[in-house]
Amino acid sequence: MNWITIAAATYTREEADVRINAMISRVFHIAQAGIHMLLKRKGAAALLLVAVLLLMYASFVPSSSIAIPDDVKQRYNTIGAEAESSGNSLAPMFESPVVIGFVSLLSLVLLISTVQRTAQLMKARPDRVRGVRLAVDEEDPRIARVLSELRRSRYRWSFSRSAESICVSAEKGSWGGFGSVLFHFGLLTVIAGITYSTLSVENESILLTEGESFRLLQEGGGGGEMRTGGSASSAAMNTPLLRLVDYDSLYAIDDVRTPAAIVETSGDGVVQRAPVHINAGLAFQGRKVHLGPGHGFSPYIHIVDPEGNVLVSAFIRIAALKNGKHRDYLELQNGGIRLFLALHGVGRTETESVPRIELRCEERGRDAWSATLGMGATQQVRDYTVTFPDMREWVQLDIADTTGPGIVAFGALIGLCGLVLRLFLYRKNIRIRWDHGLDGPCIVEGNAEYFTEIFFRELEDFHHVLLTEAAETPAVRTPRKSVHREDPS
Amino acid sequence: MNALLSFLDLGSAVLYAAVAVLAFFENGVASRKNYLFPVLATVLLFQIVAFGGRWYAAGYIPAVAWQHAILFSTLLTMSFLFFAVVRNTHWRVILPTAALYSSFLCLWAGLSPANLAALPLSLRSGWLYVHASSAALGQAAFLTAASASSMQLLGMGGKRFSAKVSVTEELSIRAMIASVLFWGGMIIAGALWADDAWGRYWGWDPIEIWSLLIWLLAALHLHAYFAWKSLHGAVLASSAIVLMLLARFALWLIALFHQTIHWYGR
Repeated sequence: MNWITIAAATYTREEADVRINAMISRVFHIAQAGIHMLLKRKGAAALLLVAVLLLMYASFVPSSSIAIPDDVKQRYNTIGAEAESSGNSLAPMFESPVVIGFVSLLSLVLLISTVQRTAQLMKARPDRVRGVRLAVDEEDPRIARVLSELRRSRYRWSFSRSAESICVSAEKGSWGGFGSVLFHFGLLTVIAGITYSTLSVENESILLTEGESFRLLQEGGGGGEMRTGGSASSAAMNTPLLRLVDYDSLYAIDDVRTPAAIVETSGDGVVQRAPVHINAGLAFQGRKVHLGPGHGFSPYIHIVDPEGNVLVSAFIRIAALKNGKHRDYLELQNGGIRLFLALHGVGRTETESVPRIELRCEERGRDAWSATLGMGATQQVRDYTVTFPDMREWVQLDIADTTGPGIVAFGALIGLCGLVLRLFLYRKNIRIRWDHGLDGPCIVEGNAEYFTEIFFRELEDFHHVLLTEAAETPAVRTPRKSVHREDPS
Repeated sequence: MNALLSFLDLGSAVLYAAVAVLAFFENGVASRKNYLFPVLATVLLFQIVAFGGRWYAAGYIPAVAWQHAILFSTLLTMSFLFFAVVRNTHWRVILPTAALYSSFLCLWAGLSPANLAALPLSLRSGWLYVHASSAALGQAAFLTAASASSMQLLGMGGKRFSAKVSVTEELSIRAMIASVLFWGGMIIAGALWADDAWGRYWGWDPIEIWSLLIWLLAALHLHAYFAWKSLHGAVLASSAIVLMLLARFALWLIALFHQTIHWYGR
């Protein structure tokens, strides 16, 4: 006999099956009740409240600078430089599993509610009111007046007549219910579009020093190859190549000065020089190159070991001191020596523009040593020779490829159309009755899906119009205020 | 030119105060035609001339600096109410407080005028017109909703408007739907512009977060209205006023205290 132990109790296989089934059933019912609760408007309000609190918390998260990822540092001779911007510093929070889980739940609820509501609307939507014009005696001035008013207000109407009673029923706005469905569908599409965009599109940030080039390896995708020095004209003319010629912090267009990266692009045998200034990207090889927030100075560092081997010889980006502390270092002798570097004197005014590198050497078992290295000078650090011959500017260029997913724009458009529908269309019914023949009193009544007070004023206007014909018609009774309010969901 | 524009702004503030008083004590057709209508038409003319003058002088839509954005949205709200007065529909339950709010806003914007600087290169895009206009329409709708809600709150405590309380609530909700629509349009236009300018739709910038937050709060307001009848009345009316204040000032305050890439017009 097989024995199964559950929750410290021992049951036979059959008993266990019954228990497991009961547990599954309970879990299923709880989940169903949870989803059912969230599908109601109160549940949606609770979800919205969570989203609001989340965003409020996010907006008070202290902003920090963006650290450049390790792989980028490795590729671009960067040992610790940081792109100083708080713009995107909140983004990591929104990539956390909790937030992604919440957005997934929101999407699920939106999806189910959209499907459910569509099904409800299709099922519950009343038959279209058809005008039975043949049965109407439009020759009668009272009925003609009513129908003319209804037509003017774009109501669809039907006409019924019994032995004594005559009734005109009219309705409009039945498509309004689809407005909220369309809106939620649009919202869902936006979330799907953003997810697709995040997952499928590869955007890339590159750090280029003046004179450096970047070669796009894959068209339309990410991944590129860095080239130090060289010019576009010397490169193979059919290879897409982006070269930073100059960075101008006071580039002028129409007398307005703005930072701009002057780049040279080459590909398909054409070499072009163009500025990439803030907020105005440059279309290049099916992608767009934007000027990113990162910018700084890149000193040329040349280090030779005691045997005469060149250890470093490149433009490298290093971070400035922060709170008097070094943030970047090079490791020599397999980590035995740490050579800290900080760049100073790179202001834009003449007095500030005296570039120098502050060196600090730390070695196990020996006291720390520091010195300042001016541009063009050489310094002996232990047995190593450090030279600082040149310096150039570097900028962050963002290569974006977001042209594909127009899904976001489409979803947003659909959502807005849904809101417009919801704003202008909601179901309204009007009934005009003569219970004792056309010579008897006329009763005007109606109800609206919501905004009943405003509708009641419209009904009064309608009644007023009928009253203008009162001279020709029998007494028209004041409309009764209908307080019936359907749940628009 | 600047003196003339300041005169028009401050004159608008005074005339809006007059409109508020006339609308509060409006009594019958004669009062509307003889007093209220001409004053309202004059103040709108002032605002249109100031708006056109700024556009002519600067060469771009005057909706970049926060003062100009406030004046633009005030102009839109009051133009809408002007047509409501002309058509004689529901204006009595919005105009008094709307004119009062507009008076304060014009006074504030008029006392701290913004310079008409050349448009930064970064803003030279067709999207500016779509984005700024949607924002101004959204602000105008928030102002309309808050004005109706203020009248609702007044009606709860007083006699004069008590009969119209439920109408004001519905008008406020309709205006709130319009604000969700236009504010959503502003966010979307901004996202599309950001894609064009920065290569991404959304960057979690503090200003972007707060504009989304205000939109979500407006959506929450609507859901609360339809879901909980117990919240009808003072709670939702106060919420509409808070939302208007948030839409007016939150983005400006956030830009002062947070580093943001949306630094224009500060």
